[in-house]
Amino acid sequence: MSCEPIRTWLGAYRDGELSPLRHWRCRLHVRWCAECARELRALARLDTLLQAADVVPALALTKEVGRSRLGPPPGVTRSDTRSAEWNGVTFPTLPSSPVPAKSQRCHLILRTVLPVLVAFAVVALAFLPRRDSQGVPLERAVEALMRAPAWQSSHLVVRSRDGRTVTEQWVSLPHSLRTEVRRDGRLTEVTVQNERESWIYRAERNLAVHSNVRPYVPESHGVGAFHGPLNSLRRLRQSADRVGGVNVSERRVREADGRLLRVFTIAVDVARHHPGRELPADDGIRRDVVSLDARTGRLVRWEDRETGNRYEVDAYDVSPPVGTFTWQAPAGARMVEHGDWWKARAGRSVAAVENSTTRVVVHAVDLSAQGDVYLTVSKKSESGNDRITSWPARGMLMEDDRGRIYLHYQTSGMTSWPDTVALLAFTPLNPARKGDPPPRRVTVRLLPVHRPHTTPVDHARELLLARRLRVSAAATWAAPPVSPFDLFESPIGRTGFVDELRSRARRAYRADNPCGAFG
Amino acid sequence: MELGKQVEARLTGRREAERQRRWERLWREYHPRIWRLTARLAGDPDLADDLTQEVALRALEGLDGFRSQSGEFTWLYRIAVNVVLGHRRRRSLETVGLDTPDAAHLPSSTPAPEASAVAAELAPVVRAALDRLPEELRTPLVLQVYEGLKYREIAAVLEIPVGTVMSRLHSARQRLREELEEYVL
Repeated sequence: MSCEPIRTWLGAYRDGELSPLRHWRCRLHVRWCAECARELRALARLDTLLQAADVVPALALTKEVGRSRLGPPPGVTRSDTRSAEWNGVTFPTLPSSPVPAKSQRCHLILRTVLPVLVAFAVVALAFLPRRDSQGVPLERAVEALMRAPAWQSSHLVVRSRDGRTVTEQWVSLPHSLRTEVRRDGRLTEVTVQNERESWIYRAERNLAVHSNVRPYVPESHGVGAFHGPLNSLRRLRQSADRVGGVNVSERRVREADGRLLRVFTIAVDVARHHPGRELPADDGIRRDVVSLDARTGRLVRWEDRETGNRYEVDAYDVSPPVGTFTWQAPAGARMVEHGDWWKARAGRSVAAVENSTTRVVVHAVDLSAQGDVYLTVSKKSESGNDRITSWPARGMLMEDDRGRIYLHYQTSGMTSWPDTVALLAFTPLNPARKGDPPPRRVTVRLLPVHRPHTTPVDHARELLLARRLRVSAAATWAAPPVSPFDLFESPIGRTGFVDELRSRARRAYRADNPCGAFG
Repeated sequence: MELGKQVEARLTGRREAERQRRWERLWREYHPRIWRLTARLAGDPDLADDLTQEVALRALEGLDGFRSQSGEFTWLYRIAVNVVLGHRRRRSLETVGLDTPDAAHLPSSTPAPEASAVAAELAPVVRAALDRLPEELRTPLVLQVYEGLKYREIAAVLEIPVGTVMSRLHSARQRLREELEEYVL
């Protein structure tokens, strides 16, 4: 079967919104078509990115939803939903032929339509939603979870499957957090943050970084991180209506301390609910066990059988021990101070350029150890839309005093910076060779507005030319240390990702400018 | 007061009290969802309180005319979508910045600061790409991805056919894939 219609259905396939027949066709197709399977994985990745970029903070969600009754919208009944499943099913059309006599018509109907109907019925029976959600409906589990009252502080312990890695975490909203990871009882990682400062320690590097930047959002960590699973349960509830593959059971268990728990076991058929995702090793079923305090409704324990992690909330709203949110490096550890990138540049101005609508200030021009140039910029425009997100992600150009061209490949910023400040990264079109003199001045063509669907002429009107900007001496860092994590070697495993961005910028530029002109 | 007027006043009072009860029940039930929806459609939780207030006022005004044919949920969602779209048009913004510091970290089921730091970088990029989508593609996507509505429900809220919802979601995802190519592949 051709990929063309399947491609347009893949999104709906992931959402569980296709008719059974189309669902089946998609499922078969992606099993043997590597391209479409890749497309499906890309859609999964896109969904993950979108979920991660939700503007409603985790805690806000928990608080808000906790006050609402979760359930299918009153306007949409179960019967409505069932009938919608058949929307969009296309039946094969019969080839046109001269109108036959009545007896022939009956015969024709028997010969053509009937087999189609029978085949369709067989397929429909095979792929009709299977309501194998036995025990309690998923609805009750989700509702129970989301009714938990909001908290201000929590103490969480996470144990790995083999029990060798234990993570302990204190959170006190809105700013404070302490996480300690122990492997076989030995301290391997520490992260501490309060409203003014933070410390990150990695034993394997014997390195501790102190900073006045707060790299964490505590409400998205620890217990707050259950936002993710909660969201997936919400989606699961919807797709379970269509494709089944979910079994939820509930039992009540009394803890040794006398607390009564509601224990939900949620078994999910991964192939049906997460097409394209790697299946769990044993039977393709992911099982989570969620325990709630029967009295308060708060989460007590979450056993993620897929990863083997076991989360236990030791306490809510209990004052943490004094000194929990400050830290002293162990004797012998190397201590490094992380400076605030933006604060160090906020008062400087290398250049200010403007057109009739926009004014851009270049606060600094930094050169990395490997030859990339970074511009720290802020802007003010008539539209008032000056946030970092209004800059293009790539596509600007720079030329140095020796005529070497640099390509813009990334726009980034930190959440702790003002939202009008952006860091623009440029890489040499031809990677620098050993012994090349560093650039002393650069001229850059800034395009301060992202307009993906306009012509180059429109772009030209908005270009701002910042001439002969002085470049700082080459730094020792390979990537700008904007976050305390950047002071650890190979930060966050991003190197490959950034390399790919650089390569893409070079390929795109060469495709458009085979002569390599600055323009 | 004449008896007729007294009866009328009492009936009016009773109707008003009933209306008030109906309104309170409706708003208590849907307020959190409407707040989230406006925050997500506007791309800015700071605006959500004001927009939710506007939704409440419009819904209260229209409560008498509302007959449960389309369902309370659909009716309120439709008002919320219109309020937010109206707000975005009024501001005449081509895009609205979405960078809200407190929401930028990736919720993770394990406390993994490194992953969060990556997401802190990506979240504004993803939001910007989402925000650059035309409204007719962005709104169904927000309703589907963040609100978890089914296609049929989206169709009811936006008053468009289910097939159109499917094709708009497809187009929206295609656009986002192109914009976020380097992160998605």
